[in-house]
Amino acid sequence: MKNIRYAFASVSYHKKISFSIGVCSALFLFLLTSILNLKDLERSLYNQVSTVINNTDYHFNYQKIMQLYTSLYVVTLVLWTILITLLLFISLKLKKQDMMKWRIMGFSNGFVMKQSILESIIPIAFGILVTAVFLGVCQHTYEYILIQARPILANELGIKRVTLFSSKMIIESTPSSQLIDSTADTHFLSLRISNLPGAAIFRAFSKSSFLVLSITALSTLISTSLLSKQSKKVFRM
Amino acid sequence: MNFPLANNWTEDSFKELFQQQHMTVVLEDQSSIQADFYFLIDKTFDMKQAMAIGFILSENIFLPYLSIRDNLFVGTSIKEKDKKKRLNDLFTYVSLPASVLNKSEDQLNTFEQIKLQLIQLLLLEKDIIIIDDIFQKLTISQRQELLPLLQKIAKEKQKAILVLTNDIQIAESPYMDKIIKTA
Repeated sequence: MKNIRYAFASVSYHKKISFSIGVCSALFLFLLTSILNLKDLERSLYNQVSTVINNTDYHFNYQKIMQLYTSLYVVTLVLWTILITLLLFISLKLKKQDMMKWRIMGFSNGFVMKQSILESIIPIAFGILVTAVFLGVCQHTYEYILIQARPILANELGIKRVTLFSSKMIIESTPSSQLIDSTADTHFLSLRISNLPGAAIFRAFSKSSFLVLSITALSTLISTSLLSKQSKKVFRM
Repeated sequence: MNFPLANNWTEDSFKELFQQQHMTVVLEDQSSIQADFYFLIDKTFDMKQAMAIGFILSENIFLPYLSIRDNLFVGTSIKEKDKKKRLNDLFTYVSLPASVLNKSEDQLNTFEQIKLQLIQLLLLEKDIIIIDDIFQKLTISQRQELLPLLQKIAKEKQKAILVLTNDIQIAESPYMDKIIKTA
């Protein structure tokens, strides 16, 4: 318990860097959860559509967009790894003296590493908490954002719109029936909010939180051990 | 850089430098003191009994995000209810007014910092205390107060104290039990 108290004291002392880590983790966690939930939406829509229509183009589009979402998820994770390594580098540079003070007091390298991991995990835990509160309280806003973002993202990723039914429709109200091309502005299926249950959000959020935490812990472990090896030779107060 | 302790380090060096209830002084060049002091720190990093060795520096070694009182108890397993009494006893033992606990780290002078480090090491029950060349930052009266205090700690608390200095007056003071000259 004392370790956690010391870690909290350190986090609150190094406010700026801790705040930056917390904000970045909340942002990336939101992005990662969103990508996983977009995949869920896509899957849900595909399941609904495939029960009524067997459209090859749509099936191809589905596979393509799922692959693109997976790639986007991996790219976001890589970006997170780079960003957190950079932030940890700055953070450890600021805390180098403190780490050496721990060592001078006679604490083992293992203790210093554990402390360092705790100090980087605490702001991330705050980020996770903030994201969890947002997703829990503003679930409808979150779903609205995803539904709005989905077609924009599909366009940006180069997914062509597929017409599931005939692009020609007959307007029968006119005296003489006419054929009108309505491909551009006709939507035959829409997503419903019920397509994204709370369990799916929770699943995506847990997975992303776990990955964000693991990457951070691993990155902290590597950078702290590198720093401690270096400091053994160069450490001078 | 001259590096006498490191260059001549053998298995027996440890026994030679650290003897219980003894104050040993290593007299060496100014240029060697810091290198040797940090060599000893590095050496203890590899040792399993690192917790038994404590260091006293003239710089501030307290963690900036903890209060001075919290810093003193870092790494100890003293119960909260016993802390006040232990602290009062040790403050009296080293002749330091308890009011320094109300100061911020920046307000502490070198002598107060050294005494607080001594209290910290006594609370941590370190067996060996290695002291950097802290004397040059102290006034003559402070040196005259510190040397007998260190001797008292070595004898009464059964500690092995090692002092690194380039000051021949400190090295040859009657409080030292053994002098190792590398200069």
